[in-house]
Amino acid sequence: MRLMPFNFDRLESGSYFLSNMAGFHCFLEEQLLCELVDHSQTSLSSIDEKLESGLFIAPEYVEDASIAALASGLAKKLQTESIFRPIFMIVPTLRCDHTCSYCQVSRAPLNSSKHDLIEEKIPVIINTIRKLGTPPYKLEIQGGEPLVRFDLVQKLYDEAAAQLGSGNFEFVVATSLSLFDETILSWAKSRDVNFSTSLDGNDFVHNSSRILYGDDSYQKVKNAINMIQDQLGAGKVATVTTVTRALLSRPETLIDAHLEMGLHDLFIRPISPYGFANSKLSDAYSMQEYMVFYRRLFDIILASEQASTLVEHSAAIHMKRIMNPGFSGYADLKSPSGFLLNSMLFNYDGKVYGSDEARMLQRVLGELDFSCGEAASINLSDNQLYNTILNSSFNILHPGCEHCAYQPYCGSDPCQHIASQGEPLGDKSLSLFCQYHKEMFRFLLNQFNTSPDSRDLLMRWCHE
Amino acid sequence: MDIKMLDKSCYSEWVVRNSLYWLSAVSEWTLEESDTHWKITLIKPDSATNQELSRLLNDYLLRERLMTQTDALRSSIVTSVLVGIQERLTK
Repeated sequence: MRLMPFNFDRLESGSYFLSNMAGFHCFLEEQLLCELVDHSQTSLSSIDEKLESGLFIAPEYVEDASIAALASGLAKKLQTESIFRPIFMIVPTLRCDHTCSYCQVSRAPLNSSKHDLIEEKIPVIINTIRKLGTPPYKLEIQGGEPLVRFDLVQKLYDEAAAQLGSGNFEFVVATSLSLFDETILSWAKSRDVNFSTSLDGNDFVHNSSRILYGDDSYQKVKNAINMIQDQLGAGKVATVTTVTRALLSRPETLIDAHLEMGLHDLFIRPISPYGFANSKLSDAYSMQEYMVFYRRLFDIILASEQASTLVEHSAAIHMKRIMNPGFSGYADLKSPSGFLLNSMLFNYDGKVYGSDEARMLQRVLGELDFSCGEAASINLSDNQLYNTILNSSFNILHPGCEHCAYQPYCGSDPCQHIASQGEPLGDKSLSLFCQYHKEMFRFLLNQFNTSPDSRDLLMRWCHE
Repeated sequence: MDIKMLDKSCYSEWVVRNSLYWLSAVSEWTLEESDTHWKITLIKPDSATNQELSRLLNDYLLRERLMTQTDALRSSIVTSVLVGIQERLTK
């Protein structure tokens, strides 16, 4: 037998997780891993058969074929993940009625007159999307709070229907739902519109970070979710949870809040290190604290009577990257990164960015131009910054990633590393991106390998 | 502070430097060398730091043995990928 190249990582249970550049994986006990490295085979023929089928070892007479198979797997992966298939985000206004403690994109005051999209630019934006994308186009309306300019949201939908064709696009409004009312409900009823909103816990937790002066943000979102569920149907509203310090010690309240509103899908993420979120030190916590929270949440879901219907999508995405070859729909977990390839953002001021994170960088590092022009004059071929960012996003070449067992399933975030370390590669030993994704992979794979109940749950989530 | 002396005949520079790269998340450190030994000074000398350094050194020793046997194959695979993509482009 001939040993083929692979990487490994020790899990909490003491078992090792092995992966190779084609994305095959397996679990081995320490003794068997040492036997494998020393003798190119283990003492168990059943294990050797699995190792051979995963191209971790190869009989010497088929070594060339095994090299070709690994190369083919790697090439297919690189090609799949290099496809340009973006979500088109449009910001009709940066104005917002909330002053959230962790706001990722900053906000503008409600009475500002300088932070709205000029209506006449909408046809140009949609025309550019038509040229760049293919059906079904994915349009996500972002903010600020986009419903502050509901009139522009309506015009964006109408223009998309006219230029892209009804039924040829998905339309998601990312909103706090604080301004949702019967008028918006009535408009959405006759259109294919989805809503994405924030739900950060129960009323105490949600309202402690999502500040709506003189009003109750939690009650507003709860009422709106109920209206959408009742009138538009289940599945028309999805939630994102940003974990705040107030939630860290209360994971059960998050499940309760979702179930109370009839929501069985959760998408949970730590606070982003971008821009304005960085400046609120009272909200900061370590990735170790986050993982303690996440482990408790996972155990609560596992023990819940509703376990068979609940889905936590951040775990699902991590597991899909390992279990479902070809899954590359999540911009953070792909290499090259999803910058530009998976996202383009049309800002209220007419500028176009390769990602939501790039516009955040623009707000924080104003001396550099992180845009690629305006909708009618996008210039990518001469854009040195975009060239550098994409060039720097192949994690297979990154120091710290090249020997990581999770590299084939992980991604890279050059914008986050520019924000936190001043350059796109980043020292991975100090990188929050690396800490978060590596700890998620480690935890989920350890659960998968040691707990049959967890394995069943995670496999179900992989098929959601 | 805690000082670790590692015999150069047992630990290569590749193993030591890769281990210390990841130790940065746990503790600050300095590295010096003599003809025969690596001298690592750990600024945060608790048992967790020592355990983490031991784990990293052991894992990188194993990785080094793996690399020694598979490095040429790794290059062959990458070359094969590039040739394959080039062939597609020239069709």
